[in-house]
Amino acid sequence: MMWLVAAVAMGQVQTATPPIELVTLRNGMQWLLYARADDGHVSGVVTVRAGGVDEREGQTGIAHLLEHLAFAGTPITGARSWSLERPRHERVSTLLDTRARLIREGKQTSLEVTALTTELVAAEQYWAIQSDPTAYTRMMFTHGVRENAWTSKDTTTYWGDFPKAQLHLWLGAEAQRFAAPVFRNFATEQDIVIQEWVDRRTPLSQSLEAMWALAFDGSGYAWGVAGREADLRVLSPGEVAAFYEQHYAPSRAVGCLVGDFDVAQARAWLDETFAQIPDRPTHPIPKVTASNPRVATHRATEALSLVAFQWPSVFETKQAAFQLVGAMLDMEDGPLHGLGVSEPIAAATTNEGPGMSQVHLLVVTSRVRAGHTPREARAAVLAALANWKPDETALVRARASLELSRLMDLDSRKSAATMLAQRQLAGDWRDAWVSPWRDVSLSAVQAVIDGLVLDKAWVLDVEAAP
Amino acid sequence: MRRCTWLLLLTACAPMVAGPGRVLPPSLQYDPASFGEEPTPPRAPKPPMQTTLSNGLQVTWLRDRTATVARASVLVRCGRGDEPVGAPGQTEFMLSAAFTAGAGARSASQQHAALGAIAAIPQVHVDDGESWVDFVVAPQNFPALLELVADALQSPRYEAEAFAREQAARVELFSSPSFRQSMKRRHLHATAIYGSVPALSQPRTVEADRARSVEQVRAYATRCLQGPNVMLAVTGDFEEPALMAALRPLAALPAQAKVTHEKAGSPPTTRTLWLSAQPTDSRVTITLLGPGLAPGSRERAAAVVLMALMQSSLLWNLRTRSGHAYSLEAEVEMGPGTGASFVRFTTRSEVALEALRSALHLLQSAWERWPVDDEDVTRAVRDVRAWLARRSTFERVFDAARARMQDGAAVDSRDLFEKLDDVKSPSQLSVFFAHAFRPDALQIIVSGAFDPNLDWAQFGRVVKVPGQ
Repeated sequence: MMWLVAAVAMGQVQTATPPIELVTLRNGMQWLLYARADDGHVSGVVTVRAGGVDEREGQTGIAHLLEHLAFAGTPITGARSWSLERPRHERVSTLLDTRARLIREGKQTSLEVTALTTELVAAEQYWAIQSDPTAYTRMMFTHGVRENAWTSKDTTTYWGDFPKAQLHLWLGAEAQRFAAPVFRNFATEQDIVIQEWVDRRTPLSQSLEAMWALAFDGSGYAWGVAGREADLRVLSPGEVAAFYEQHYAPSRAVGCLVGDFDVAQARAWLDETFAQIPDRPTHPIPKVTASNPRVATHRATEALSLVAFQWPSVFETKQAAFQLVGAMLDMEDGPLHGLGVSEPIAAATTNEGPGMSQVHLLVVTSRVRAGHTPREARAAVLAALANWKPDETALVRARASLELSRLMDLDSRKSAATMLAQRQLAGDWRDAWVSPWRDVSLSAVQAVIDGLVLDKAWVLDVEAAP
Repeated sequence: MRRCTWLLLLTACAPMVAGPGRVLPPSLQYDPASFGEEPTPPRAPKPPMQTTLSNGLQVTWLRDRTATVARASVLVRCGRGDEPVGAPGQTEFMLSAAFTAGAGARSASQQHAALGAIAAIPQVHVDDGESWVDFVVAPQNFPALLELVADALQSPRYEAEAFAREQAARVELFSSPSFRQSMKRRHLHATAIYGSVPALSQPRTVEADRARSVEQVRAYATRCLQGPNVMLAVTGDFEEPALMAALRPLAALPAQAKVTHEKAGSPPTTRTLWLSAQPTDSRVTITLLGPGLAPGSRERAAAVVLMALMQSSLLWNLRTRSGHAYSLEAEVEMGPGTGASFVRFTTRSEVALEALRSALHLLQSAWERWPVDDEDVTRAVRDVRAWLARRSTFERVFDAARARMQDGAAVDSRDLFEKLDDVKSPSQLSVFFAHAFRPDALQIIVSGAFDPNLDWAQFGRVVKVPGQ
C-alpha cells in the first residue's frame, strides 16, 4: 500500500458534504484531496501545528522567522553545489549563533562582536557565490506557481496555487523544503521580520500586546505572532533550526489539495514525496492558561480602553454562542455603537486573539475621545454590556452573518484548502460543513452576555503619553 | 533532465544533510523542476452571458457551480469625475444611502433589517468614471438580495433621519488619522496626474460632507441611476430563473440620459516631486506616476504586459541596487480622462533617496536604450496569460461588466487574453513605456517617514504637500 489509510468520507457524512478523500501517509501526515472543476488550477496548503504558542520567552517571533526562511531553498534548490556550499553555510551559521550569544550577554559593542561582524560580511559574500536564496521562489514563479505563507499563534501554513500540470513539481518542492530547509539569507530575513514588526506598531497593537501579557503571563499566548523586537534582534540560525526540529514533523501537519486534479494520481505522488519524510518526535503543544482577571494601566501615544473576556477555543462545541455574541457586538447598531449616546465617550470595536485554538480573549477596544479618560470609556463599555438584551432579530442577523462567513471560507480554492486543513488539524474536516449556530437559543446567548462583567474581565486603561 | 537521471547522479552523495535533524531522504534527492511541465497556454476564460434590457440596463452573468455563495455587483456609470465641483464624495454617498436610507416600500429600518437578515453588506467602490456596489450572500438568499437591489436603484428614499445618520458617520470618519491619511494619499495621486481637471482633483473634506443635502443627492441619483448608466454583474451559485425574475423591476428604471465623460486635458509635461510627510508611517512609499490609457485604447494589452515586466524586474533590480525595497506594484488605469500608470514601491527611510535614484536610473536607462528583448516579451506574455487564467469567475464577470460599462471600448479579461497574441515585439512595449514613463515628465510622489532635509530637489521641481 502506498499509504496506510485511505478513507473516503462516506457513511457518517452529511448530504451536503462534498466527496473529499482523507489520506494518512505512513509517517502520520494527513492529506485532504478535494477535486472539483476549477478551470485547470489547484490550490495546495501544508499546515503545520507550530506557531507562536510554541515559542518560549527570549525567542518570541521565531515561528514567523522560520516561515520566512523556508523560502530560501533546500540542498537541491538554491545550491550551486551543496558540497561546496554546506561548509560556508555552517560557518556563517556558527558566526551568527556566536554573535547572537554575545549580544545577549550585553557585549554588542565589544571588539569580539566587531570582529565577528567583519568576518560575517566576508563569509556571506563568499557564501553568496555558492548559493542562490531566490532560486526556490523563482522556480515556482517560472512554473506559474503563486505561493505565500502565514504564521499564527497556533499554526503555520504554506500555500501554493498553480496550473494542474505543476502538481507534481509543487508536491516535490514542498516535500523537500519540509524535510530539509536551508536557512540562507538569515540576516536579511531577520531584518525583514523586524521591519514587519516595526510596521505593525500602533498604539492599539502595543496595547493589545500588553493585554496578552496581562492575561496570559507565563504561557504561550502572552505575546503576539510578531514577537518582541528585543528577541527578534538576537535570534540565531541555531535557534531557528532547533525550533524547526522540535515542532515540524509530518505527523504534526495536514496538507490539502483543492481544485482540478486527478485524485489517484495525487495519491501516488504523495507517496513519492511527502510519505518519504521520516516522522520524528516533537515537543508537546503548550497548554495555554489565563491568569486571574485584573485591572492594569499602560501608556501609549493614544488614549485607549481595553476590556477583555475569556473566550473558548474556536474548536469547542460551546463556542457557537460566543461567536454569536462576538458577531452581535460588532454590529453597527450593537451595544458598542454610540457609547455615551448624546456625547460619545469612546468608539469601540472588538478583537479576538492572540490565538484561537485554545482559550483566548475577546477584547473590546475603545478609542477614548478628547475630554474623557480611559476609565470613563471602560465604565461606558461595561454599562452598555450590562444593559444589553439582544432580541431575536439581532440573533437572526448574527446567524446569517456567521453562516455567510463560513460559506465564503469554502468558496475559493485557497480559503477552502486553508479551512479544511485547519479543521482536520483540530479533529475533523467535516466540521467545516456544519453550521453550529442554527440551534443556539437567545437564552444561551444571553447567558454568555451575562458573564461579560468587570469581575471576569482583564482591563487595561491606556493613558495617552507623548 | 528527468528524475531518473538526477537520481543516478545524486544518490552517490546521500544523505544530504541541511543541518542537524534536517536530512533530505535519498528518494527526495532530485530537482523538483524536472517535474515542471512546460507551461501550456491556459484555456481562454469562459465568456459570461450578457443581455441588455429595453431601458439600456445591461446584465452580465455566469454561473459557477463550484461556488458556495452568490455574488452580485451593481455598476453605475458615475464616478469621481462626474461629481459636482464642491461636492466630492457624492457618488459614494448616493450609493451607500440608497441601501441604508430606505427604498421602495421599506423604511430605512425595514431595509436595514431585510439586508441584515440575509447578511448582505453593501461594499461601495468609486473610481474616476464609474462606481459599483458588491454583495455576497448565501445562495438561498439570492432572490431576496435582488429584490432589495432593484428597490434601491429604482426608488431610493433618502429618508432625512437615516440620511443625517449617514452624514454624521462620514463626518466622524474624518476624526480618524488613518482615514485622513488615505484621503490625502488619494487626493495627491489625483492632483499629480489630473491637476487640470477640477472634479477629479478636488479633495474630500469634512466641510463638503457636512454641507451635503438630500436634494443634492436626489438630483445626482436621478442623473446616475438611469437604465443606460447601470449594469448588473452576477456570478456564483445562483438560479437563473431568480435572476430573470429580478430583471423585470429593473426594466422600469428610467432611460432618459446616459452619462458621458469628457476627455481630460493633457498630462503634465514637467517632472515634479511631491513630498508628503506622514510621520506615523514607518516606511517610505514612492510612486512614479505617468499618463495611463483613455477608454478604448488599443495599447491595453501591451500596457498590461509592460506592467507585468516592470513588476517582475524592477523590484529585483531595486533590491539588488539599494538593499531594501518591498511590495512593488505596477498598474495601468483607464480614463475617463488621461488615466494613469504607476509603479509604486515601499522602502526604508534611510535608503529612500538612494532607492528613488536607482529607480529613476533604471527608467532613464530604459529610455535611452530599450532593454527588453523577444524572450522578455514572451515570458511576460506568458505570465499575464497565467494571471488571466487564474482569475476567479467573479473577477472575470466583473472585468467583462466594467469593460462594457466603459462603452465596450475597454478590453475585458477575455478580450485581453486574445489580444495578447498581438503583443509580439519589444517595440510595442517601448511605445507604451514612452507614453507612460517618460522620465522628464514623471510625477514622483514620496510619502511616509522620509528625511525632508535630504537633497530631493536633485530629482526635479519639489512641491511640499501640507500635513493633515
